[in-house]
Amino acid sequence: MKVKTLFKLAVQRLKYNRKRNFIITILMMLIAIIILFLGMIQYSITKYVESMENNMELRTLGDYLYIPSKYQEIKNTINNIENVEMVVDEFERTIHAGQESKQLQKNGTTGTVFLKPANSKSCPEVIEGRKISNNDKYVIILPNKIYANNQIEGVNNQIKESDYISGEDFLGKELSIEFKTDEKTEIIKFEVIGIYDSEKYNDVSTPYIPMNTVKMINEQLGYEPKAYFMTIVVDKIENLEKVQKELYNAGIIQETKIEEEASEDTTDSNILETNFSHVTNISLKTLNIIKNVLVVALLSSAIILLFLLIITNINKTYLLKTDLGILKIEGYTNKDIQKIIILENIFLCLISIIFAFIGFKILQLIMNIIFENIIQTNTVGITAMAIKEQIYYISKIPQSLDIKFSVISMALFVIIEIASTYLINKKILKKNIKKILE
Amino acid sequence: MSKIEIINGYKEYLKKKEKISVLDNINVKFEKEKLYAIMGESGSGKTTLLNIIGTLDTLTQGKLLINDKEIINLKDEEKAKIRMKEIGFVFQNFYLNPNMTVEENIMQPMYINPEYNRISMEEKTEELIKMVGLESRRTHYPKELSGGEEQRVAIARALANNPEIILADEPTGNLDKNNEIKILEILKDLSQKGRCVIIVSHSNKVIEYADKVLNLKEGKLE
Ligand SMILES: Nc1ncnc2c1ncn2[C@@H]1O[C@H](COP(=O)(O)OP(=O)(O)O)[C@@H](O)[C@H]1O
Ligand SMILES: [Mg+2]
Repeated sequence: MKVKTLFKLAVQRLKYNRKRNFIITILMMLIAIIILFLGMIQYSITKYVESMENNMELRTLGDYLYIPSKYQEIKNTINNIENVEMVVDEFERTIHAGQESKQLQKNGTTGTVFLKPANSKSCPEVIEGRKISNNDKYVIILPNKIYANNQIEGVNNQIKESDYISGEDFLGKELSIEFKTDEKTEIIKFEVIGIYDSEKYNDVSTPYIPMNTVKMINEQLGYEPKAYFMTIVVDKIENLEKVQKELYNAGIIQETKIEEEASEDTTDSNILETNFSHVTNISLKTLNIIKNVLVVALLSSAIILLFLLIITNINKTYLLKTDLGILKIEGYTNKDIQKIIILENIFLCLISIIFAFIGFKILQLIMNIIFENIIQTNTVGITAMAIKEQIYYISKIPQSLDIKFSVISMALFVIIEIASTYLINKKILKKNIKKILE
Repeated sequence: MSKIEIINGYKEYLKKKEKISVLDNINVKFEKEKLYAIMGESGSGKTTLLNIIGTLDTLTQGKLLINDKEIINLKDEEKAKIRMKEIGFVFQNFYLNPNMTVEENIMQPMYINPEYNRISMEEKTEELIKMVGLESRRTHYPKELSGGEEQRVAIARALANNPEIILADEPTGNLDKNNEIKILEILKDLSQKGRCVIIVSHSNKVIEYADKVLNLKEGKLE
């Protein structure tokens, strides 16, 4: 049979069986939407959890005050505790100066960045170039999407796509950063050696430089700490409490009574950061439970729905059995008949998937509106900044869909549909002609 | 040369592991330009015999020759080709596609015939519609037709690829007297124009039109 004839006959069948095909298309569309939707939520939560886990800020215990003479000894002790990724002292932690780069200004932004220290262990995973090693000096890792401004992105004013600078453009080049204190201004050049995924780390304004370089810049600027602080980065959010307990047991820190001391107005970073980590840990646990429930829901509903689809398909094929018999009598070979029906079903699948994507987009839109208008406005002003920020990130959930997941799940969907059709037809066509025509 | 020949044909069905013999040593020849009537009681194996001749079913044992060619060992695809080119079927229940118009039903077998192009397909359809007198029914659906009209569409469809053999299984079983005569006259006409027409029936009316009457009884054909 010619391809043109095959197409013509398949399209003809679509038309002739339009009522039944309409029902099947709707069913397949619903199945596809549910798969896509559950997949989206599952994927988004996974990504969100990942980004929280990757965010160094959320794994940080700080700032502990020490007497200078005991400082090095304590630092070594802490470094030996399991689950401690790194210990950062006051010189290594922050550069005590304004940080701006003219190269990172765009659409009226100030070019302000917030440099963070990294060693080989704590350096973010790069998508291009290489990570920071412990021997590096004056190198820098940038996010692939940069938004450098002295005002951090707010909950309500989202950044436009056109406001971002591409980090990749700087790879292998030099980046000049101006460090300003009340007394001095220093311009220092960094070699851009790596790019990290800003989405994965939920960060668009943080370049990483080596810890030792932070220290050198602070010394160059003549920074003199009033006290010796120490910040501890833990490997995983879930280990925060454990490390805190060990530090307490070892007599390195004093117990802080978080609940009693914390209030919204507190500017004491010690209390706030610890508090934040605590909240994060709880919400992460909850999210992980939700994620696992969703995986189970996704798998089981997909199985049930596919089962339903196969049954509908069997039902349809049996109802149209006589048609197959007629074609056989007219001299169509079993192969011809299979080809026509499979092509018809491929058309049906494609139509369903197209409509499913449209339906899915509409669902996304509705979810976005709910997240942006109801959840966000209702919570602004009554919760701590930390919670607000989390909600801001959660509100991104309805916007993401894993392309790989969509493609694979839809392909599987088509394959199962076609394979079941083929097998049912094969079974019917093998029967005695009297049974087919019955 | 005979159009169709069955030599020492046997047919058995397995029902619950028990063999039932339906055709028992059949030896028969069917010629061109003749109309055959195969008579027999219900359940005597008439449909089975016709389906075997039409390559839709197979003999358990024996030979089937169409145009002197052995059919039994052919592949399914080759059998399908024979059905397309050589054989037209007509049934008691018409078996028209209810979702297709008269024209579309008649045209459907032509799509797999490489001898047709779009224009010759349309011409042939037109010719067949005229032949069975359904000019005013071209775009009607089967449910809008009477039984007699439906059967005429089925005959037109059976002739779509110019077959030399017409196999009709109780073609008038669902029709009244008038329509029965109309259908039999069309079939008679086809045999007179050179085709080999085999009608299976238990209505005695067919005998009046038949060149030869065969009786199927207890698996034997006489
Ligand atoms: N596919 C089949 N499987 C088992 N038995 C069958 C099958 N087809 C027909 N038969 C049996 O063969 C006999 C003849 O059937 P059939 O050829 O339909 O008779 P007729 O057309 O003369 O009424 C019947 O007893 C029927 O039950
Ligand atoms: Mg019968």
